[in-house]
Amino acid sequence: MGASADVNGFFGIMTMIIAVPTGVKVFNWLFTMWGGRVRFTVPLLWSLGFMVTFVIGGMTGVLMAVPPADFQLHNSLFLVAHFHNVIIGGVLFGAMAGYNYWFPKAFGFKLDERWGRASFWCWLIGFYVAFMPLYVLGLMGMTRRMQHYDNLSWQPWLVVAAVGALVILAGIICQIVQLVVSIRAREEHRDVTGDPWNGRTLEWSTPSPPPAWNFAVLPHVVERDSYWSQKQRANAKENSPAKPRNYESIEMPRNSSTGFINAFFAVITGFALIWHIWWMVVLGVLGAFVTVLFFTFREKEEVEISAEELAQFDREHQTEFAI
Amino acid sequence: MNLFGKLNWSAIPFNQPIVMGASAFMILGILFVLALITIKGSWPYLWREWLTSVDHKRIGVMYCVLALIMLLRGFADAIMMRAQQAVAAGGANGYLPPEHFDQIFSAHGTIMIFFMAMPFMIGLMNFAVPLQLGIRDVAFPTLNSVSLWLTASGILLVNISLVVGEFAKTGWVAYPPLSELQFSPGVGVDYYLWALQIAGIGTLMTGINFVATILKMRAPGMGYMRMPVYCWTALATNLLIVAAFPVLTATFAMLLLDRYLGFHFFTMDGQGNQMMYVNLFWVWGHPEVYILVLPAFGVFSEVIATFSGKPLFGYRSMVAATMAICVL
Repeated sequence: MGASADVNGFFGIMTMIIAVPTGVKVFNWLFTMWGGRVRFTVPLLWSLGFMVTFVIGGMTGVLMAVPPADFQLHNSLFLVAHFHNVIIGGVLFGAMAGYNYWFPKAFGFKLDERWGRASFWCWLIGFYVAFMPLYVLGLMGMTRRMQHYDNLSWQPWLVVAAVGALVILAGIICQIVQLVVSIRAREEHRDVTGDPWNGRTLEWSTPSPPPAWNFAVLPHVVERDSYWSQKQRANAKENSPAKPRNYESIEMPRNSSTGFINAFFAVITGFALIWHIWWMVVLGVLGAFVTVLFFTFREKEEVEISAEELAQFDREHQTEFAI
Repeated sequence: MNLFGKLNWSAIPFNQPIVMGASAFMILGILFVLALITIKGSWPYLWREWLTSVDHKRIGVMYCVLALIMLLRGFADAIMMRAQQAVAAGGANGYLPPEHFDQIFSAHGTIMIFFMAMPFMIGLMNFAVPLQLGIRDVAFPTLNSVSLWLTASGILLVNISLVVGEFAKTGWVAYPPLSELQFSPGVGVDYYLWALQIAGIGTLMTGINFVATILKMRAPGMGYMRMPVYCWTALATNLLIVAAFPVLTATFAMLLLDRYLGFHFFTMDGQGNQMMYVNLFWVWGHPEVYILVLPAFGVFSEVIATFSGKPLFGYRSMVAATMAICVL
């Protein structure tokens, strides 16, 4: 883009290099699944969708890293298709996987599987229908951000893309329905063990939802995939009695209205700056400053949680002998 | 000097039915939610348990809620654009005039990147990282709350721009000279700049918070090579945030100086250099896409290992690959 051949070459090479560690990661994920007993839950579906979609998007990115190709394709719909391919396939699918995966931990009940699967398939199919035409359009010469265009041969592709967007809309609606249905049926989907997926990492050793203090006694970690190995060891010595925990009172940070009130003044300041209302700017900045000042002068920063309260919570949630 | 600066009733686009319809929908939605909370008497609960909470789990959930709501707003923009492009062929002009279409694609990009993808990833990291590290909260819990609410402030400003005034018509990257006063005399670019400056401060503080937490506060016995891979990707992400976001803040500050105080960093006259904005913006922009995707990689590592019933293949090479991406 107006830069010399050397600059273009440098960035082209750097772009291609970054595909290497990314490729390493993809192969590692594939090898993780190889030889394992794979459960096709909703989070895993999103992960599989990611692997296919992100790799395709990544390949088009490396294609555009070649400077002569980029000269043609820069700021065309090919570029738009590429970055939506990697952002939706990567970031959004990851967000949905994480959302479905950690939801039971956060709220104590699982999300509905059927609606989750429906939303995944709508998103996946919708994505491809919406964005594959854009690759073609980019190669045909359509640039980005066009409010109208003369070339009638582009229109059929754009109509297909619009249909794809509607399929994605169906996917979003499925997600909304999934949430509503899950909340209504939450007692059926209740997670009582804290470990609905037979997880490997420490968050699954807490009740769902975890108490404010997360861990009554901080875990002592001896290896990777800490919770998994804890479970294996506990299963191995099933017959020996579990040791009760040694509770000590802990201190947790106290709640604070600083964030919320500060934001109120931030909005006032921002709005005033935008509209050139200078007296309001001064008020907003002063308000924010005073809010933070109040915070620095507070005397009690922590709340003490007694050992009895910790023990009581564990008793109620049957985690007093948890490993 | 007008008491309300540039603000007057003409800022509300009464003559644009689509905008008025969207604004009405948004305002009614907000009023509905506020009314519901009031009727159920939930304000004390909400204030005590959520709005003033410094608990990383609550903050994480709130980030994700904001992200999901903004997904709807950004997606509405997308549907509008697809509809416009499907019909505006040959001589047809579609239903969105260019001034409006330009605001839509700018808002779509800005919202999806800054107010959907970033909060979602940050929300998931907020929720899961302290639990995975075996600790009780992040290094600076109140700062965490401040970060969340500053992001919410940016979101509120962008949504106000729908009703009062306009949004930027420059695309989500806001290159000069189009984004300078000469070619964007309205308030749209200012909405963009201030919303992002405010949210950007929040994000930078999150970066500092998590780097401190991951480096300094793991559970007893958890050496770096015993951390879950998600925590490694979170570390790389937050290191990148700390490195990249100050550049964005500085770049926007320069553009703001041009727009408010007549400076000439990027203007066409006075020896301004527009290419410098482009370069500076992308010094932030390229790390940003990795900031977005690395946490997603981490989620996949966790999910795939869990649902294959096997440990993640090649833990060490995963860590190396993650940090290589961070450095590259």
